[in-house]
Amino acid sequence: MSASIKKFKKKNISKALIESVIQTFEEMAFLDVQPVSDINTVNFTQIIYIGILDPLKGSMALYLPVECKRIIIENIYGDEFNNLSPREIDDCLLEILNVLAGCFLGKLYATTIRYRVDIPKILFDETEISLEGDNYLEQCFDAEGDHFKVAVALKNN
Amino acid sequence: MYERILIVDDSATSRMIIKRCFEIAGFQDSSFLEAEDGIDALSILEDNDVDLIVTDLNMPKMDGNNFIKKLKIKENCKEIPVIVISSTVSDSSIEEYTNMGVKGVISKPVSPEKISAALGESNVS
Repeated sequence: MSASIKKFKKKNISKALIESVIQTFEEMAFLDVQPVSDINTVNFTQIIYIGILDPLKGSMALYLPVECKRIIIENIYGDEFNNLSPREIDDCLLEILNVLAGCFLGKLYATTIRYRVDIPKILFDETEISLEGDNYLEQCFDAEGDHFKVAVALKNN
Repeated sequence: MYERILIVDDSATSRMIIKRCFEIAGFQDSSFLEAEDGIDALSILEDNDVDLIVTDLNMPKMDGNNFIKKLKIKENCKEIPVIVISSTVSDSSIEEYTNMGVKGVISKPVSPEKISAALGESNVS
């Protein structure tokens, strides 16, 4: 199967993104998240970013406000946010995006294709990343009352 | 059956989750060693005997693929069963790792059920 992104319609990318976010947050953070529209801004405090390497080039970013971050991390660790070190918190966020990116690619492609992602990283400013691509999509989600955003950019081969 | 388990993953969160899932899957009496990457894991294996190795693939310094290849040529390690746990698992990679002698391949997020299935166990609590 060709890995050309031209074969994917935007609705397929959107479907894969939504399904992977719902599954990842449910299975990792025990959170019920649902896609929402008409959210003008997400007041994020951190951006977690990962490059997509194969079978096509691209990137994904997770924009989290502080309350979302707190709930996610407390659910995963089973401990109070204030009891965790900054390193544990950062590591947890990176792992979420690592799993999410893999899940997204698995839903986008046939399972016979190998895919790779880069090592994820945490950023604080949108100017540090480039999410422009031939196919750019962002989607907001409601996580039991709080909102966060996921953006993905995929380049045509 | 697996009394000493080595978990190899550059994410401390992932190691914590994997260990927790193993405990829920019935391995609460096992002891766990942890390594951040393949190089760290090989160093640990020089001084420690383990019954099972669980490894991620996407790691800095030495990735899981190279780590498994190194294991399979080390006399004291090549018979240790290996489980791969990764966020980028596909059918083709499952076949590849099975051909390398890996016991099982699990996609993240890991769960006690996935671990039991990979090990062929049925003792999920």
